[in-house]
Amino acid sequence: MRFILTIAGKDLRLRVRDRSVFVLGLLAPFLLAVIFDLVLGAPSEATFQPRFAVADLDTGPVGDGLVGVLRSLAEGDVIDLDEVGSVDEVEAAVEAGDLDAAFVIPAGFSQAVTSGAPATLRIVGNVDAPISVAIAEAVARGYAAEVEAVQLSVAVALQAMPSPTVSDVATLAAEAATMPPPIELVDVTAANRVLDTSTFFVAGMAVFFLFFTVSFGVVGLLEERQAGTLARLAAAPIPRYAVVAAKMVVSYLVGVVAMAVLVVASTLILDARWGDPVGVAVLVAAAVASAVGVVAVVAGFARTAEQASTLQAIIAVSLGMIGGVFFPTNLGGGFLAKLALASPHRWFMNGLADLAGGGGLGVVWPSVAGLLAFAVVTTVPALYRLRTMEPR
Amino acid sequence: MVGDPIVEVTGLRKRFGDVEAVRGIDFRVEVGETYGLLGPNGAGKTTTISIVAGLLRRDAGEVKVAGMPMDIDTAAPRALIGLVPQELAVYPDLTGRENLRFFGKLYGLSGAPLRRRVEEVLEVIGLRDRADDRVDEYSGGMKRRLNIGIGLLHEPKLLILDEPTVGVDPQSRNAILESVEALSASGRGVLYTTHYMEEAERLCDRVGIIDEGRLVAEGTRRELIRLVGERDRVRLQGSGNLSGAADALGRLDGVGDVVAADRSLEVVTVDAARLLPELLAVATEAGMAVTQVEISQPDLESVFLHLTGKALRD
Repeated sequence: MRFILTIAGKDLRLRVRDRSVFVLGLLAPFLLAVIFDLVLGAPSEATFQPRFAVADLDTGPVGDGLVGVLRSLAEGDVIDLDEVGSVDEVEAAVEAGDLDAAFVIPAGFSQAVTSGAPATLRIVGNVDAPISVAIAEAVARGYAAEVEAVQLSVAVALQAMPSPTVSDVATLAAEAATMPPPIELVDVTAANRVLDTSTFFVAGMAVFFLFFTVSFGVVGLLEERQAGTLARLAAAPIPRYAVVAAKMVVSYLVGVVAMAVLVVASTLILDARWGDPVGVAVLVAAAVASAVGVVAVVAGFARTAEQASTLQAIIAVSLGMIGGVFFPTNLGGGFLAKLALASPHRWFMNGLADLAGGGGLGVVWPSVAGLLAFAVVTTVPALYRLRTMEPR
Repeated sequence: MVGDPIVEVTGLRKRFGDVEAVRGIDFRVEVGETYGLLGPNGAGKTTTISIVAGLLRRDAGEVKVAGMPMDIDTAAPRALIGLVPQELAVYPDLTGRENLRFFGKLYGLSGAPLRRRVEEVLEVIGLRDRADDRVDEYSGGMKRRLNIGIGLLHEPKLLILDEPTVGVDPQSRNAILESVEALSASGRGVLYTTHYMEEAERLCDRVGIIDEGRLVAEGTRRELIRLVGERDRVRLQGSGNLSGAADALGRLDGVGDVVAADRSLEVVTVDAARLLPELLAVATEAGMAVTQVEISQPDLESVFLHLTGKALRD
């Protein structure tokens, strides 16, 4: 152990002196994450707010219900809402591009709904704002479905009454409208398990560059062989595994420190939300182990440091793309989602997504297990190859 | 020089793919002896000493260092060896002192003994004033000296130097050779590889001539020269009774042919240095006035040429 620490100490000193570890391990991923966040993240999150208007010509209870839904969306800053008095005014505003879509509740709308007659809710859409129009249509359909549910409830209840009066109908309708839905869907598997933009890009860049950062240690073995110093290390009266072990220790330490600094810095500066600290720590520890394993197996089969660096870059970029660190490949499902699991990057991102859903250490074990499996599968053959590497 | 060998190599073989780099080499280095492996580039010198130092696996044969078997996984005999590789095996981003301290720790030195040895070695290699400068600021000769110094740190019983003067300027080369001479005088065994005949002649007690993976001859310089039948030649220039002098010289023990030329005699002898006073006395007594003496001795270059049919630096 003493010799491992001696060699690792020397390597760390060299890496600090040549400064490349700071550039590749800390500066590059952080800057790229900031750039990605600025270019792709902030604008879409900050500016998209549909501009809607409603013209309530009905003033009945059903029309009021829809206006109430729209007001609550406006209060939640989901939409921007204007309430106007005429259809002409609405159409002019949409035509002028001042509105994305408008709801027109015609006169007699409530009367038609409660009497079972056909009722029409009109949406005036801006052709240049298709997403906002689609949202308006979804809101209208949702409200119509709710009204239909009330109508159905009232009809079922009236059939059980021998001779219902108009007053009974009104009472039943009011009760049905205020009843909570029998089945409420709470999404805990998708929406809540998606990282926010800042965290996604910082985490993606951090794990992407991790596969370069850790190469400082293990690939150093090949550099030492080329420089001739490996012969001198191999000639020393130390266990043969000590040199390889020291290189892997250096890789691991550099990787952990780089990730830790990025997690803290991105939390403070970019407001990234990584999740439960203990879960993140365990996930990072496993991710670094898998990265060291991948780099070690590359170093074990390469002939020179240059060859190892080239192979390493190809593998790191491929695994990064498959793993969805540049864009979330698994959201499409199917083959890509399955292929993504062949990348340690995906397991790391999955683990972070699990933490973003509010879980702690308990939810990251599957991802940690996946990452450790990568570490074992790559480290074992790498150790065999590196240990038997001839020093010249 | 007679005693237990510090290195004993028997039947050594090593193959790299289709190339058999070492083809059954045997030699031994005695305690306090400087043994040279002389041969051209690619002869198998570096492969041989790499196996002796435990860096490479051998295909066949045996290597013992101070009686202990040496293999790629054995640690104990390594502590007795100081290796000076042909490449500059130093860390350019560390200072000279940091390099020495690092390698000293690998050889089990620490604390005050490590500090003392580092200072002693810095003194020996003449880098005390530049000890705290980074090695990438050193001249080529200074790097070479540091390369040797690292091999001396733990006071090894056997120092292995692999062509330590390759690519070195004449001044630094001379300094390195003087250092090796001093090390030889200190009583440790030295195994020295070179393709420079002058270095082998100057430094080595015995020389093994290696070519195409085989040790083709071994012995002291004189033994090797005698082995191939080469003789010293003494050219006496002068005037007077040259023919009488030639007859008298031809009758001396240790003298072969005597060839008379215009104003000179060429005497072929087994040991010019030893016989020279007697040659001069006999020639003068026979009536020759000697005005100039030239001695030409066969060197290892001519031995190598004789044994292999090619020059050392082909």
